[in-house]
Amino acid sequence: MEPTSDSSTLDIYGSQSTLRPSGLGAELTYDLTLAMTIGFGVVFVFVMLLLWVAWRRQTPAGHWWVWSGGILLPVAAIVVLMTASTAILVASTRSDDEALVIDVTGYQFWWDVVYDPDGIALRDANELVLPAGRPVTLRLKSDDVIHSFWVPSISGKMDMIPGRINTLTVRPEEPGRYRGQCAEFCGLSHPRMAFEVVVLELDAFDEWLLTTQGEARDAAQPELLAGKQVFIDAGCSACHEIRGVAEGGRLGPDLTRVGARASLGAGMWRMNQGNLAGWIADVGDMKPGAQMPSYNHLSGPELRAVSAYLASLR
Amino acid sequence: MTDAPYDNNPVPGPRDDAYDMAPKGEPDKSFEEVWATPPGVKVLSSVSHRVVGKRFLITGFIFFLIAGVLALLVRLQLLVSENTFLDSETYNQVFTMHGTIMMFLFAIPMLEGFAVYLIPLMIGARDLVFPRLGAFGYYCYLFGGIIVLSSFLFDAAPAGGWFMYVPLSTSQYTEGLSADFWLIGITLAEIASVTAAVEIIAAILCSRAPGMSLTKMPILMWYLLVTAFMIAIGFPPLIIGSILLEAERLLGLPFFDISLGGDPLLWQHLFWLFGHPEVYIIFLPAAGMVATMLPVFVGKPLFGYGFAVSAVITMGFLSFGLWAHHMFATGLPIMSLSLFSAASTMVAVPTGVQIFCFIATLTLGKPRLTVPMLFILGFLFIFVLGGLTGVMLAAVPFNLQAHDSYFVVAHLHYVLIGGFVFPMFGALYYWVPHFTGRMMSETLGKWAFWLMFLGFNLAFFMMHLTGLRGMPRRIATYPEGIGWDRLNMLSTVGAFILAAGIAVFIVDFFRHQRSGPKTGRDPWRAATLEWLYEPRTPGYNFRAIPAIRSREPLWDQPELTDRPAAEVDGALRISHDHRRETIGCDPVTGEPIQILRLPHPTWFPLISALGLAVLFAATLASLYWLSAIGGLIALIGLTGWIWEPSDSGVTRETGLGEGLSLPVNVVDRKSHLHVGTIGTILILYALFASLLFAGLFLWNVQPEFAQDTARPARIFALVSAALSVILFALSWMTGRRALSQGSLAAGMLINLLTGVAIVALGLSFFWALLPVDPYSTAFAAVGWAMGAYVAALLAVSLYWTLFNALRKATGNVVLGQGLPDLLLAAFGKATAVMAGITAVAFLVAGTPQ
Amino acid sequence: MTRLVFHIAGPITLWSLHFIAIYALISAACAPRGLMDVDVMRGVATISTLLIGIAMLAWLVLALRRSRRIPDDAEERPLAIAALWSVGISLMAILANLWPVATLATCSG
Repeated sequence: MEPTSDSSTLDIYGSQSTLRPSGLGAELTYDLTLAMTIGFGVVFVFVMLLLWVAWRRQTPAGHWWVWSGGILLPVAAIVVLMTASTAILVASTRSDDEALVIDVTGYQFWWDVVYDPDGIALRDANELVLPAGRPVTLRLKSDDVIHSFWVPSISGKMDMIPGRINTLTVRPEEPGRYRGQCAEFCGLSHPRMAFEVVVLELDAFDEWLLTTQGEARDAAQPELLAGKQVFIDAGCSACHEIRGVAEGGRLGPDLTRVGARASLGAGMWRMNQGNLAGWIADVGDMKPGAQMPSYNHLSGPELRAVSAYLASLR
Repeated sequence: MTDAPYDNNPVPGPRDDAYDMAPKGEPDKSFEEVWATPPGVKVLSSVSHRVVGKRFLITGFIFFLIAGVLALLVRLQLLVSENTFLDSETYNQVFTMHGTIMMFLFAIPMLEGFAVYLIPLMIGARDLVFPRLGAFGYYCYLFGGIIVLSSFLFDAAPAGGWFMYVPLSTSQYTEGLSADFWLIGITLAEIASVTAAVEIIAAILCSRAPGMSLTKMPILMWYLLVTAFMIAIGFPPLIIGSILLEAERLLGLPFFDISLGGDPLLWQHLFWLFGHPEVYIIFLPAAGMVATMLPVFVGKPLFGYGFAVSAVITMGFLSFGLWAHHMFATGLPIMSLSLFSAASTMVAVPTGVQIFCFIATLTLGKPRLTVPMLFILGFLFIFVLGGLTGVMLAAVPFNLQAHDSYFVVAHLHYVLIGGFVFPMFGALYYWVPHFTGRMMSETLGKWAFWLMFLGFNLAFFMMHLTGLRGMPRRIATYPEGIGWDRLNMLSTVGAFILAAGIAVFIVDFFRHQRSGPKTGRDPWRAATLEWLYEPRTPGYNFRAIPAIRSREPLWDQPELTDRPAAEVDGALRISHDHRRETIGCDPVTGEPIQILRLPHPTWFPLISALGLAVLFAATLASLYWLSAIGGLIALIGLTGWIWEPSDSGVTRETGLGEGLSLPVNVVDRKSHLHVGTIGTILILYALFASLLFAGLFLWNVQPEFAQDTARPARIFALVSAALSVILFALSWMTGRRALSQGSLAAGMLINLLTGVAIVALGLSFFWALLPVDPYSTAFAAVGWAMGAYVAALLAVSLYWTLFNALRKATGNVVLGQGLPDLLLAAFGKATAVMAGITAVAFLVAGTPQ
Repeated sequence: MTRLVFHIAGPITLWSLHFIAIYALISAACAPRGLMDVDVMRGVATISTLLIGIAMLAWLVLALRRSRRIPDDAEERPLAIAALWSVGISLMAILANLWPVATLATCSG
């Protein structure tokens, strides 16, 4: 089944640009970028002008050209740059004991997310909900190859390296939607390993955290009930968890609120029943290299039912 | 310097008719015939630097075109969002091979080609000092390149990126042979790089024209010399990394296995310890070519020769302190990041010095706007911009955003295309007349330049923006509407304009070979010796090797230009013994100290390289019996190569000064062979240091696993240390005897004793390591790797010492021909030092903490 | 002239030794094994940098005096200039190595 063509992500996500910063790290870095671009732009124009002057000039240059241009100019620029960049580095990576802790683990090619792992340990996947104005410490891990966690609008990137836990403290500021993407080449579907970031006001975030902790929404209608049965019968729960329905499967993304995500397949496709059905029937087409087998032996009605059920989980 | 540069009171060697002959001479041939390139298929046996250099250039350029086509495929795929032109697998293969070929099979071989071709011509030598090594290196490169490229035929092209990060490239995540094709092929091709390094160091230091002191060398020689040392130190970490990774893939040794204390970052450290200097290894020779061409078109010597020399040397060193700025996002401690950030910015200082030397040179005269000059200006524009974005990337916070985004893609192409490809095209326009004897078209050259320049800037300037807008590298596809569509389309258009410029060059190249106007003598009014003859220069380069009094000999020495080049006075006009010969000099002062005998065409380099290629390819195919056969062929080839009568012990007239006679292949530490051996030893130390680094790194980063590793047997580690001292002493004695020309029988005895010591040392190491299970932890595996490395060194030493003993026994060496033992002594001492350090390391590791 | 070659390569070799030392010190203090305390490391790094810095300053003065003594048209003049600049660049690079130790309070900023 072809994925529906309206795959544009622009209307589902906000920015993926470092030029639209919305977190402390990204904002400071944006200022640094701007300052460096202007400063080095001036240097570049100056050097090119000098080249032009040198070309036209008839009298030989003195040694001071090399002294001032080769030593003084770079050293002055370096001292200013290093001072600013060190200050920003320290400010933007500062850890915070009060920060909310979230574990994010990279897999080929999706993201596992656990909120407050030492407390409520709320599990989700491929979407990160963050509070505005409260520092968050992300503990970044990987269980297979190296990935890199990057939400350009919120902060610089940090690699997820198997065998290590890297921490990244972010301070999102503006509520809204942002897009993040894996920045370290991780294999076949590396380009299809993105995720959404939803930044909520502090109150809204606390409420979200509270309401999301419960079990999955009940399947009330008959078709959804049938879908739930297909989910269980087809063995989906061996890998996928739906809290209150089938627990323990941890090999694939948690699906308790899959229908509430803006996208399917780690930031790639619009989340709707059609795309869900297409995904289940032919994963390899939508995401080459994904670990999940295709369930193309499911009948049409089964496929419809299970995809409707999943879409209803919010 | 004294007034009479040749009067260095050479000690005449002992003259003894018993071996005062040239056993390999070709008495029936004239001087020209001795130097002629063999006809027909025998051309493959040619070892001439002109032939080998051109092969490097042509092969390198073909790889450039292949990788360029791959780049166009990448750009086509990214032309629009959600493109299905290439599937992900193919795209990953394409960008992996693009990077791999450009870095390993184009840039490095291309600069080697220029170096091999130009060095002897510019320093007044008739050939490189190790012509066979050059030919051998070329064949290794060719076969390695073919192995890498053939992966396409087997549908197993590497797809893990040119950086091959683990664990993605381990057998768990990359099944099949694709990663093995990369590791094995590239390692074979890298042999060419390290042999070229030895060759360049020895040639520049030991075969300059009479009187060419260090300060009279063309500036390019300084650049190439520094580059060669950088290759010698910079390539070994990658060679070690590749061998460790291949050993993990093939034998299951857990070097990078997290569950057994391996570390993915170890690979990154080793890779970038090579990878960052590599960029400067590519840039420096290109900058050297700019420094050579620029003064020609200004008509005045380079501004600030001394500044440039200091800048090149400091840059060579500083470039080794930046590797971790490719790893800013890996979670290293901020303090380490800051160290590498500071060191990275410092490299801007020597770079700035060089750029300002170039700019100041323009003020010295009235510059001529020729095609090479256009490319030089293009280089300055692009490279300065790329350098500035490089300083931006050295700022850690910015780097954390820009790393692995298209901003970095833009930066690296500004630096590499600006810093290497543009100067290279300038150099091709400049030196192609020297290769072919015909001029290329000025008009087409300008077309080529402007298409390349505009296309390049269109393609790559946009990528700065694409990257800042959040587009990561190495993605086969991207969603519509994120803000990358238009920029990517412009980049693709630019890439094709750039390609059109290169196409114009190729068309012009084929056109000019038929209809280009004939080149006169010194067509650019250049100052350096390669333009002494009217192109094409005859195969011997110099009929007589002129004495040099100036850094710009063709400008300042009228006796070189006021008569036909073949009539210029100089050394070795008389052809002794119908051998290929050139003048060997003191490395610093350039005073002649020896007559250097050069090999004639031979098949041994090809046979040896072929054997190695069979060994590597069979290992790839897991046909180990064939590997053994390949190794045997290589060994036979190398033995035939070195089993030749020694030339030392003879003194001949040079035709310089008042009948100055010089020894042939002098037995001295300044001998080119000794200098070459020291260069080789430098590489061996760098390989060893890489292993030592790996051990220390794992010990420091994975302390629990180091703790759990079984200890080596301390008693045997102690014995190994003692035996290392003995081996050092024996090697020292070998060297003393070689220089003082002691008796052959005693020399043979020492050779044999050395052999005994080596065998004992090897056994002792084996017993020291026996309690350690290499499969237990990564730390243990590195211990075994160090043991294996020392064992390899010992095996070479053993072979060498027995070889020398055998040659003495069979009368192939007579008294006074001490070079083989002098070289063995240097190698033996280095082996002993590395064995000793290893023994101490085992001793320390074996001590309970 | 041979001596001048050493004077060109010497200072920058000293830089590489210093760089390796600082890298090793930071790795010793900040890696999991934790061989030494950060402040001990800072002390060792600062003192060694000061010592090397003083040596380099002396070297700089020597190089300056040498470059004044050698006439402009002397053959070894370019190498004397190169030696002078090499000391200058190396000295700055050695000071740059101290940057992280001097500006950061802990391993993690």
